[in-house]
Order: sequence, then C-alpha cells, then structure tokens
Amino acid sequence: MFKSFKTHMSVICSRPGFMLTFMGLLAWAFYILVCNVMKYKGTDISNMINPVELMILGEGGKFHWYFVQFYPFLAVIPAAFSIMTDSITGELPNIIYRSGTARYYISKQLAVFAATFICFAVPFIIEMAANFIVFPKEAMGNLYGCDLYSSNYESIFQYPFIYFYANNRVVFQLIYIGITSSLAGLLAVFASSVSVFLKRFRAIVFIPVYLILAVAGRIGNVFDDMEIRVKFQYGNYITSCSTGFNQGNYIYLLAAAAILLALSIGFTVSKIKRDCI
Amino acid sequence: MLIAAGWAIMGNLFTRAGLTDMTTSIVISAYGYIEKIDRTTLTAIFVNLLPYMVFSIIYGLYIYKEYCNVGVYVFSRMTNRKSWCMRKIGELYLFSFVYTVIIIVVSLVTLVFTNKIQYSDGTIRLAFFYIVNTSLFICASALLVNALAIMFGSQTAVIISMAIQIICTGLLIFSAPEWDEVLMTYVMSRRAEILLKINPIGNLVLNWHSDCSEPVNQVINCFGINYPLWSSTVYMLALLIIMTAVINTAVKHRDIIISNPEEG
Repeated sequence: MFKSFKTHMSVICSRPGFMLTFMGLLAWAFYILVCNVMKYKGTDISNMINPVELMILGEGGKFHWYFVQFYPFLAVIPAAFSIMTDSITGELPNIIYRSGTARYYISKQLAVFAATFICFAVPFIIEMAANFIVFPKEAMGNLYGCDLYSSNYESIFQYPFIYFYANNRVVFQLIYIGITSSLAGLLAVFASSVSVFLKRFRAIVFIPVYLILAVAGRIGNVFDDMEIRVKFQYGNYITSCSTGFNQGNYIYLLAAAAILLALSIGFTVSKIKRDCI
Repeated sequence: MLIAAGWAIMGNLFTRAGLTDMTTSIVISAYGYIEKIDRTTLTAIFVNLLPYMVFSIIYGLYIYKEYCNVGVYVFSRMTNRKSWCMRKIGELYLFSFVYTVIIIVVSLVTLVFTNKIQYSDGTIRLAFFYIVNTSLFICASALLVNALAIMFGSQTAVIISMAIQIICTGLLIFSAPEWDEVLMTYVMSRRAEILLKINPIGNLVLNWHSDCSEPVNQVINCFGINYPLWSSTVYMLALLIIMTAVINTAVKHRDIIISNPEEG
C-alpha cells in the first residue's frame, strides 16, 4: 500500500497542475510580502501591524478576497484530475492489474489528499517563515486600528483562537494553514471520487466542489440573521483574524467535512465493488 | 436546465417575505438587490453568478465535444467550416436563451405561490432586458471556453475563463462610489463610472442601470447615473461578436483533434 502511495505521490507531484498551483501560491505570497515591505518600511514598532494579519489568509491581506473566490478551483487543480488522467490515457487497467482495484483507489485518494495538502501548506509555511523573519513578531498593531491599551480592545477582539493569537502567533498561523490545507485536500478527494464515474472531459470535475461551496453560501443568504449566515460561507472558515466569527462555528466545518468524507468514501467503495473494465 | 430551475427555486422559496411587486422581484431574483460596492456585496454577486458559471462549464464543451466525437467525419464531408461553426453558435445561443428564460420564469412562478405578487408596469420591459443581456453574456462566456478548449484542452479553458470572471468581479471594487463631504451622499466619480461601464460583470447587474421608462427607472437606478439598459445590450452583443470571431479563428486553425488527449 505504502509503495503504491509513494508512486502515486511522485506522479502527481510532477504534473504541471501541481507545479503551477504550488509556484503560483508561492509567487502570490512573495508578491504580498514585497508589497508589505515597501509599505511598512521604516515604521516604528509600536505602530507596526502584526505580520499574521498581513499574510494571504489574514482578512486584511492583499488579494485575500481573490484567494477566497479562487479557492474552489485552486483546491481541484493540483491533484483531483489524477484518476481521470489515468483513465483517459489508458493507464488505469495496467495499474489496476498490477496492484488491485481496492489498493489502487485507496492509495490514489490518499495521495490526492496528501498532494493537495502539501500544495497548500508548504507555500504558506514558507510565507509564514519569511514574514516572521522580515517583520517583528512582537508588533501588536491590527488593521482595525484598535490600540492595545484601549478599553474596547477586549470587546472588539473576538478572533477565533484568540488564545493562540495572544500567546503564540506561530501556532495560530499553523492552525489556519492546517484548516485551509486539509479542507482543500478533502475537497480534492471529493472531486476525484466524483470523477471516477466520468469517462472524459476533465472540465466537469470542477463542478461538484464549486457547486457545493456556492450553494452552501446561497442557502446561507436565505437567513436574515448575520450570525447564522456566516456559518454557511466557506470564506469565513479560511480567513484568519476576522472579528464577528465565533470559534465555536468550526464544529460546523467538522460536521461538513465528515459528510464530505463519508460521501467520498461511499463513491470510492461503490466504484471498487463494481467491475473495473 | 435542472440547475437553473433548482437555483431559482432555492433562491426564492424562503425569503422575499414582504415582496409584492413584480418588477422588484425580477431584479432580486436575478442578482440580488445590490446598493453599494464593497467586499461583501462582491462576494454576493459572485455567488449569484453560479448558474451562469455552471452553464459556461457544461456548454463550454458543446462545440469542443463535436470536435472530439465526430470531428473527423464532419470536416471530411463539410468544406465550409464557417457555416458549420455559425450554426453551432446559433444552437448554443438558443440553449442560453432557454436557460435564462427558465431561471426567470421558475423564480416568478415560485413567487406567485409563496407571496402575493402583483403585475406592475415595466415588468415585461425589465424581463426582456434581463433575458437578452444575460443570455448574450453566458453565450459569449461559453464560446470563450469552447475556443480555449479547442486550442488548449478543456481543463485549461475552464481555469482561464473562471479566472477572467473572478478578476472582473474583483475589479468592480474600483468603481465604488465615494463619500462626498459637500453633498453629504455617495457620489460616483467619472473614472469609477467608466470602469463600471467597461466591466462585463458590472453590465450584468440590473439595478445599477438607468432606463428611460419611468416605472422601471424607479426600481433599478440606485446610483443615479446615466447608464441605460440598452447600452449593456450593445456591450454584450459586441462581446458575443468578438467571441464569434475568436472561435472562428480557433476552428480555422485547429485542423482536427486526431489523438485527442481526453479520449486516449
């Protein structure tokens, strides 16, 4: 199983989709870093904004809105086409003949998850390291313009995971990187488990993930209550340093992830049970 | 088609409690009533673009599919590719027309059952402009996907087309009205107005436009700028003509897809 997983990993990681997404995220992160260095050059440390808020995942980060909108597509591009590519090029029967149906599909899905996770996590970790080297980690400013010693500091600051924000920024950022990357990996697994039923036209693989995330947002718009509405929008879950979003809401993300996982396992198992050729 | 109907039903079934006016309901069921431009409303616009994006993915394979499946047989019998391509574009436009009509009709029918809505003046005019503008837009975007798919393959085509649409939606932030200290209201600068008018997504949102018919104008014109609905129709028509030229060029230059990588 592990050998099969390793082979699939190396195949996926050498594909142009993976490379492009990886390099794209890295270039994006460094563009933001350079912009921020130009902007905050020579700022006093007491006025300096906390680097956590300036990264891609921070709410006030440059182009964060674009990241959230591109997310359903970015999650699919690196690895989710892998099974489909195998079946299109006619490689699939050969590999299954050598390794067995169950082993092929399970190790493939694991590889899809791992590759997407790496594709998102590694650029963000590099970005975090670079940001913490370039900017002072002790800076306490924030983009809401709220002073550290002001009386309304506590009432304004309702960030999720505020404990880690106050004590250890690295862990705080790592939590968000973990959430973003594993959600992306899960979505990729879902897309690729839908794609086992398709025979051709890779473009259709984009639809399920996009449909799920956008339809969830649309259902959320039905409610007038802002508290309920934010729970349906996936963008809030991958945005760090946003007020108005409760830490307890992440339980809904877990539930949604469990449903997605169950669906993907169901699709994959039904494909495994079926005759292959 | 099911997606269009389902989307329309889902959007209308729960909310819209106090809605009794038919003209307003068309605006709302189209993109939502958007009065200002900031990040939240742009996200709302983007979410509301979903049925059009799904259309452009599914029907973005319409001409490309012909290329893959029967390309060799068709082109060996047919010497004039241009007429074949134009006929396909006509069929595609028919599909996009039916798709938009389904969205608007289903949402209105759902509203008749859930709320007590009444017919008001200008409904037909507004619905006409909505159907024409939107069907032209989604036809143009599907043609773009087709042309790119013929050139580079369907996966790349969808990525490029989605990227263009997302970036266009994001660029709308530059056309946000600014607070004027003297007049004490939000005023749109000249530059912002031009940027709004050249943005394809900005042309889609109905309630930013103005109209010469008074009952319609009362409902839609929320920025108070001169931005007639027919100008968007002209814009979309120009977009469609450009896309037609692009796909004709693509069909002309790509001979046949012999060893199609998507079929093996």
